[in-house]
Amino acid sequence: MSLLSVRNLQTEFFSGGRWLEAVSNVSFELRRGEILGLVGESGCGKSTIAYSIMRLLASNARISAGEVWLEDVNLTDSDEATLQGLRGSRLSMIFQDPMTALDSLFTVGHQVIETLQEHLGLSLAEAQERALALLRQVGIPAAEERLSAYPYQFSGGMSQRIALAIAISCHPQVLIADEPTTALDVTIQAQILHLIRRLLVEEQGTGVLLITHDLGVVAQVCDRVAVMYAGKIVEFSDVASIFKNPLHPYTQALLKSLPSQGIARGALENIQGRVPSLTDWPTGCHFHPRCIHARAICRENAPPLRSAAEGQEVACVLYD
Amino acid sequence: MKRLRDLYAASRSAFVGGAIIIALVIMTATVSLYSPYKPDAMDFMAPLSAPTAAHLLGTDNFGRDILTRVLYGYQISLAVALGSVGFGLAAGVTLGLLAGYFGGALDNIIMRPMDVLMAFPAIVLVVALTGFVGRELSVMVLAVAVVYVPIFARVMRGSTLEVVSELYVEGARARGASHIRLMLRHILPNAIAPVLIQASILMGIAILLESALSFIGLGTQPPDPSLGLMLSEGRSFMLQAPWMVMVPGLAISLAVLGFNLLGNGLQDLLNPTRKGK
Amino acid sequence: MSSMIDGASPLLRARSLSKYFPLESGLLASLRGARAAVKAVESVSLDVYAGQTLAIVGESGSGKSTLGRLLLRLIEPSAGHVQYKGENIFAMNRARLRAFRRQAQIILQDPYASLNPRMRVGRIIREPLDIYHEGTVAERETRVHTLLERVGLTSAHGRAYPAELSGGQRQRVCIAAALALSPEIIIADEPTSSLDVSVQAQTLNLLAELQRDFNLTYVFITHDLGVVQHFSDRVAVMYLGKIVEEAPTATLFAAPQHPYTQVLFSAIPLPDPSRRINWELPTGEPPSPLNPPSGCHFHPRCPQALESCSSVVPNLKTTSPERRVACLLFEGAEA
Repeated sequence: MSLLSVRNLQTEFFSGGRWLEAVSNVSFELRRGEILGLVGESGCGKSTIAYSIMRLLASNARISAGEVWLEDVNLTDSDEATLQGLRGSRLSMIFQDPMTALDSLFTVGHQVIETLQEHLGLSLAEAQERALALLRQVGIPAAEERLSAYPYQFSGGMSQRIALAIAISCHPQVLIADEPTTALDVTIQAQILHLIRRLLVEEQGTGVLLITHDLGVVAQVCDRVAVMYAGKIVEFSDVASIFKNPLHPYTQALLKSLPSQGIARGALENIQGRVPSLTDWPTGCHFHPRCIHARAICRENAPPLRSAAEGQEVACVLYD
Repeated sequence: MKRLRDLYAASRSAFVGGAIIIALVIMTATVSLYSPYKPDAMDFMAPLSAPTAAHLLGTDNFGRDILTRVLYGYQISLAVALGSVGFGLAAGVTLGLLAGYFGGALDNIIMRPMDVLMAFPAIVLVVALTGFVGRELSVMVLAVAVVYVPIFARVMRGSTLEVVSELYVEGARARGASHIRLMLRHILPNAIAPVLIQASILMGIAILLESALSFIGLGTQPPDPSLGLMLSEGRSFMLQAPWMVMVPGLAISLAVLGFNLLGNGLQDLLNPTRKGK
Repeated sequence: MSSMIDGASPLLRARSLSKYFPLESGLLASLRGARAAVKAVESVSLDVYAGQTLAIVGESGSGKSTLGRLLLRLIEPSAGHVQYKGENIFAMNRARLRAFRRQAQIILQDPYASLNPRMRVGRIIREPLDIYHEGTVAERETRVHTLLERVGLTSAHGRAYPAELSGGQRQRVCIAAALALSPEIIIADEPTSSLDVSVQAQTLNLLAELQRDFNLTYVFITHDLGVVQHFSDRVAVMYLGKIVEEAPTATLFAAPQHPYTQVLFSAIPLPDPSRRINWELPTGEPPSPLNPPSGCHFHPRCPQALESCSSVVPNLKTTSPERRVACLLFEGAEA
C-alpha cells in the first residue's frame, strides 16, 4: 500500500472575481522509502500541490476536487485539530527558506526540544539529549554550543540542517521538501540532499516528495519523477528512463534547454513563447501552443496520463 | 470617474482624507464669494446667538458669524500649513538627499545641525522665534518650517540610503550617470514616498501649531479670524455659548483628520510595485 | 604572467587586485586603531581577452561579485590595478573614466531589482544614450526601437513599466540597456540565475548571438557550472577572495587540479543519473571571509591537505600552458 496517495487533486485560486485552476486533476502515489521528484518551472503548480497536501493553502485558495490520503487518513476531509496532530509528526515539510520554519525569537535548541516534547511526549532531559543527537546527525559542529544560539547566527546551510533536524525528529512517514536547496551553494546542496537520502529515506523509510526546478537534483537523488506543466503532470517516470528517453515534447525540450558542454554556444533548445499564466491557460493540452509536434486535436482534448513504456507514463497524443 | 473609483478601491483612507481637504480648500478659497457676512462684521442684534437659520453655526460675543469666521480662519491655517510644509519639504529633501547620497563628511556637516534643531521641543522653538522676531504670518510660517526641515531631512536621508543601494542605481552608475542624474532621476522618485506621507501628517500638525500659537497670543492677532484665537476667545463664554469653542475645535480636528487620513492612504498608494497596474 | 594567447594583449588586465571592506567605521574605530576588515578580494591577477568569455565561478562569499565591480571601477580597490588597453582605470580622470564606462557595461543579477520601477522601459534603454548625448532625441528613440527588437521585444514593451514584464523580458531590457552604447565588454553578474530553465536558455542564446554579431567580450560571474561549461572559454575559480585555479573551460572540466575545484565539480548535480555526485567528498561549510583560515584558505576542508598547508600561502603557479593553480601540491610543477 502506498504511503501518500493523491487522487484527482484539483486546487483553485480566487483572483479577479473568479476561481482559477492552479492544479488540474493530479494523481500520484508516494511509496515508503522513495524520493519522488515533482519538477517544473515557476508557476506550474508544484508548490500548490505541496501546500494542498499539507492543507496549508492560503485563504484565497481551495481544494475543489479530489482526495489526499496519508495511509488510512483522508487529509482532504480532516479537521484542523487532526491535521495539526499529523503535521510535524507523520507529515513534515521543509521550505526553500529555512527561516520560515524557525522562530527568530527563540534559541534553536528551544525550538527543537519543544517539537520533541510536543509530538513525542518526552521529558525535558530526554528531549535535550535527543536534540543534541539530532543536531550531530545533521552535521552541525559543536552541537552543544549551537543549541543555545539564535537562528540569525546560522548560515543558510546551517539553518536548513536545523529545519531538517526538526523535520526528522519525529520520524515522519512523509516529508515534503519544497526547493530545499535552491538558496544554497552546490557543496552545501550536496550535503543536504545526502542527509535527506541517508537519514530519512534509507534509515527511516520516509517517503519524500521533493519539489524542485533543478533537473540535475532530480537526476541525482530521486527514484521517480513527475514533470509538471501549467497545472498538470505531463510525464511520470522512473528517473533512469526519463533522462535516457524523455517522452513528452515538453520534457524533451526542457532537457535540451539545459546548458552543458556538449551543445554549441547559442544553440540551446528554445521553447517558443512563454509559460502561460494562471489566467490564460490554453485549452486541450496546455503545452500545445509551444509544442513543435502539436496537431489540431491537441487544441481540443487534454490527453490523460497513459503508460507508454516500461515505468513511464505520458500525457500526449503522440503515444496513443 | 473610473479613476476616482479606483482610488477609492485602492485606499479608502486616501480617498476620504483627500475629499475632506479638497472640500475645505474650495470652501475657504471661495468664501468671500458666497458668504453673506464679512468675518469681522458684527451683528449687535444677535451676540452669542445659538445656531439659527441666519447664523448656521451661531455667533460669538460680538455677534460675528462663526461659520464665516471658521472658513476665513481656515485660510490662515492652510496658508501656514502649506507654507511651512512647502518650505520645510524643499529644504529638508535637498539636505537629506545630499547627506544620504554622498555620506561621509557631508552627511555629518548636514545632519549634526539637524540633530541639534530636532533636540529642541518644537513648540518651544516656534514660541521663541515668533516671540523674538515678530507675530506676522510669514514669521509663523518660517518658524514652523524651521521645525520641519530636520524632520524631512531625516526621513529623506533614511530612504535615500535605502534606495542608493538598489541594483538599478548601481546599474545607472555603471552606465556613466552623473551624480545629479542619479539623485534626480533614480533616487528622488523612488525615495520620496515616505517624505510625502510625512508631509501630509505634518500639514495637520502645522494647523495644530498655528492654532496653539494663536491661542496663547503669539500667532494671529485679533481681530483676524484664526481657529486658535477663536478657541481662546470662546473660553470665557463656554457655558453660555458652547458653540464658540466647539465649532473651531471641531474645525481643527476635521482638517487634521483629513491630512492624517491622506497620509495613511498615501502609504498604501505610493508602494512602487503598484505602478503601472 | 605572459599573455595567454600569442600576439593578443588582453582587453582588461588585473594585477594584485585587492578589496578589503572595513568592519568598523567612524571616529571611535579609527581612534582605537581597529583594522578588522573582510578581505573580499585578495591579490587577484587576471586577464580578459577580446571576443572571449571569461567565467568567474565560486560560492557565496568567494568575492566574485566584488571582483566584477572592481573590474569596472564601480568600487575603488584597496590595492592593485586594472588596465584597460594598457591604461590603469583607477588613475583615469573623469573624462577618461566616462569614455571607459561607454565601453564596459554591466548586467546585474536580479532583473527584478536592477530596473528603476518608476521609469518606463524605453527610457531605461535610452538613458545611456542620454548620458552620452548620442545624436538627437529622435535618433535615440529610433535606436531604442532597434535595440528592443534586437533583444526580442517590441515598442509596446518600451512603453511599459518594469513591473508589467516577466523576469525573462526584464533581463532582455537589461541586456538592451547594456548594448545601447555598443560596448566592447559586458560584465554579467549571475545573468540567468533567477530565471527558469527555458527562459535561461533563451537568454543565453541571445547573449551568444550578440557576442557573435558584435564581437563582445563577456565576463560571466556565476555559480552555475552548467552555464560556465556551456558558455565560457576560460574559467577562474575563486575561493574566499582568491583565485585558486584558472584554465580554459574544456581543460578545467576534463581534469580539475585544485582540490577545491575537484570538490566543487563533484558536487554539481548533473542531469544524468549515471554520473553521480560524489556524496562523500564535500565536507564542512565555507569558513567566514571575516576570519579565513591561515595558509591556504581551503586547507581545513581539503581532502588532500598537507601539514604545511596551514602555514604556507600557495601562489598561483602555471602548471601547464594556459593553466594556473594555487596549491602546494603543484608548487613543484612549475618548471
